[in-house]
Amino acid sequence: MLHLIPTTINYDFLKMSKPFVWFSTAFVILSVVLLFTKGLNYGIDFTGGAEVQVSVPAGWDTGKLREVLKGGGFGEASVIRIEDSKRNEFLIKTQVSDADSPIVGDKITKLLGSSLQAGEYEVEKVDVVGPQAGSELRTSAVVSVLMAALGILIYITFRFDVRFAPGIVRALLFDVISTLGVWVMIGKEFNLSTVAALLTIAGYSCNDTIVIYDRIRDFQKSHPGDSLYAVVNRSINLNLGRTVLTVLCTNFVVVSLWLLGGPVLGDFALCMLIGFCISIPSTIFVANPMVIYMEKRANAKDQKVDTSRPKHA
Amino acid sequence: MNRSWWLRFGLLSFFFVVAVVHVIPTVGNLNLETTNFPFKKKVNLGLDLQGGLYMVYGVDFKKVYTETLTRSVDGLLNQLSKENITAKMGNVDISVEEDPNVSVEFDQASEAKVKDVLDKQQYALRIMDRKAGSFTLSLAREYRSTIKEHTLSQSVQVIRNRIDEFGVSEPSITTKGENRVVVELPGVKDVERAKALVGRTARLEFKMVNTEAQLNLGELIAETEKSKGFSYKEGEKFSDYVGKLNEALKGKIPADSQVQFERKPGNQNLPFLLHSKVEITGNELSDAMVTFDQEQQAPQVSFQMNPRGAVTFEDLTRNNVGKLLAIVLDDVVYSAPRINGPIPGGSGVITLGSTGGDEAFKEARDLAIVLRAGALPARLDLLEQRAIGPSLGADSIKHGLTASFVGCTLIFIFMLIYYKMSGAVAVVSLILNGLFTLAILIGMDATLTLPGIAGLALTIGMAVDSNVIIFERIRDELFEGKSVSAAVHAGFDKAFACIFDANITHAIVATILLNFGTGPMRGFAVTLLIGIVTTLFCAVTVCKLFFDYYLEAKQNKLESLSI
Repeated sequence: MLHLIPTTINYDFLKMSKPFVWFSTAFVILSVVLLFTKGLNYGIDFTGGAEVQVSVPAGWDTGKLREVLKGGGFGEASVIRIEDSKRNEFLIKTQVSDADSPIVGDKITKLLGSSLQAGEYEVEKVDVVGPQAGSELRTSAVVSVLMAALGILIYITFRFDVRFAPGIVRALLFDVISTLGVWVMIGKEFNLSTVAALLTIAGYSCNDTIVIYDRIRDFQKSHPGDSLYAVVNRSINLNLGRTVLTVLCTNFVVVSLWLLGGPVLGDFALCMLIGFCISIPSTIFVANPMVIYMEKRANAKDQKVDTSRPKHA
Repeated sequence: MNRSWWLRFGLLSFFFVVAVVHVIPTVGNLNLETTNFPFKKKVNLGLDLQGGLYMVYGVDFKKVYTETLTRSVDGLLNQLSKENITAKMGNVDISVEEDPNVSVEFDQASEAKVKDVLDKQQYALRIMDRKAGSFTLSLAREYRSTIKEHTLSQSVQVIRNRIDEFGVSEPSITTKGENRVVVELPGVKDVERAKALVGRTARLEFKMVNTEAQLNLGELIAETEKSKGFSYKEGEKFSDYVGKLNEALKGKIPADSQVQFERKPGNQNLPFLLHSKVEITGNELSDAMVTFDQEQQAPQVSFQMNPRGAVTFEDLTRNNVGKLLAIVLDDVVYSAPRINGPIPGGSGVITLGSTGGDEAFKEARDLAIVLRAGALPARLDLLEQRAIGPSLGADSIKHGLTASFVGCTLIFIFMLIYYKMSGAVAVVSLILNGLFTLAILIGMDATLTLPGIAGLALTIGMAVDSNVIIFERIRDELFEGKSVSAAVHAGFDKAFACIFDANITHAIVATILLNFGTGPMRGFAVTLLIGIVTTLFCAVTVCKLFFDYYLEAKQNKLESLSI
């Protein structure tokens, strides 16, 4: 048998969790601060505006394209060259008024048509989101995230008892907020696909925690004599192989999508990659100690379950 | 092998064959027209993969409500006059969004009578406020929601008719929420034209020009613009400008009239003073087609009215010989010819002005289409538009498939190395998983989008998890000293609850994603959801089937397991 993680492994993960809990809390706070100070780099999905992707003849650079656009009243537009593409492609971003939004794509097509022959250029993508649609999408994004959290919470409380639910939710919040924090740090655009990625991360984060909790429940049944502390630790250790393998396999796909999936899938996959990586330590060091903590609280008056660290562990 | 095993094997084989049949036309890229293959359906590619146009329109109900309200109150006044009560309608107050109201004044003595008529015969109206000798009326709530539904469904119908004439394969026109229309047109290349066809209200109206007032409109408008400090700016909605202007002109022009323009190049628009009353609408048209105006050497649109419209048209022209009749389309005057005598038969032409050449022909053809298909019941505002060219779509497919292929191959290699024979079982199970997901996607007529391709790969990536959970459990059981057969059974038993729980949270998230965002993301959610079902199925049946076979073949005398 091939083992990434030796079967004899028996670390006291819970002992190591304390500094991580502090670290994770600090990271969440940092993320929230960043969200409010530097802020997310919102894409047109949420701010409204136009994004036009064009391919033009090889000789053209951003300066030349900007000049042409200026002639049509798009002096304010930002022009970015799309790297790693076989064609000479540019992304034009601009704000639009409500009245202008239906025609901005046509205008840019006409502008290019006036200085280039047909066939020399192509308008590959036009995304126009009016201000009203932008604010609606923003609302629906927030509603979706809240509904996902609520849905997960309801399911866990049904399926697991109250001791387990807070740990899952806390790990979930940590994963999603930290990912957002990293997203702000690297200045990537926040758009509809980022929201979808965050929701997927939320699902993944729970999945990871649930698998360990499932183990803990099993162990409690099969080893009724052991302290909860020992049971949790043993579960983490036994599950370590699975956690690492699963994340590894999922990340094979996610990294491929990130590196090879082109510009649209690239950011979507990168966001998931960040979240999935964060979800490993958060499950081990955040979700699990919460179980002990909740157990302690529940038994504060009635000391039936031994939650203290056994001396031999 | 026992019966249960054969039963499960038979079922799996059946699913496998059905799935392969579903997938072959897509994977083999068969030409559905010429192929002899019995199953003739390919996967639907989303707009982001095949190129096309996605548009979200907002329906402007305000005007519809206001018009319905004035019409209903007109009806009420008519009824009251039959009962010898004189009543007067005030100005419509549109300050409350989507619930305009209007006051009706009458002789205080007849209040009871008015109330009676309202209660018994005017179900569309409700009294918002009552004072001595005056009611404030607005539309009844149920009636308003009826109008809303009707307007929305009629908009969809009209757009569908227009698109059908335009010729797009598999368009999708749906409503979203209570005031949105979503139009998806795969493969459309001429975005500008498609937009003009879909979004144009195409409200054709015949109105009489008010020649009695003897005003110098040009001067009057210039003066008003100067005193109120506004003018038409490029980029502004022309209809907004006209609305503002008419508001400002109130009192300076007769109350039953309004100013509308004939648009000329270079903003040299020609104003007309028109009677507000609509004599005939485009609803009375039975046909419209492009013809050629020999004199102007330009295309024009000829129309034919239905019998009822033709009669009205004849009466109208008979009674107004020598006056000007304006043909107004979407609040813009197209022409205002002099009526030389009664026109029987109800046919006429709309001249387009000379934009010249090919463009003019296109415009004429599109105008004929929208006139034939009918007017939209309300103004549609384009809120969101996403257009993708075919080459970008093809690029996306290539990128998505390459990335997915590489990712999955890495997983397969890893599983083979790490779990050996059991890993091979997992790989078979994963491949079947992907096959089933794609087959269900095709069978359900769902749409595969670029994020959907990612979702498919991610499904494989996450499905590994269920195999890993099972295998790790079996290893644990072996580690605890159980026999191979006992370890395998215990492993599967214990793993299932865990796999189920873990996948449910994915399902919750995917369900929510289904209702979020645009088409591409919905495609992602759909693949994830289908993937979860197939994952649960494959992990439990496929792997178990192999392990059962192996254990049985070795007669439970296994010393070790390749895991």
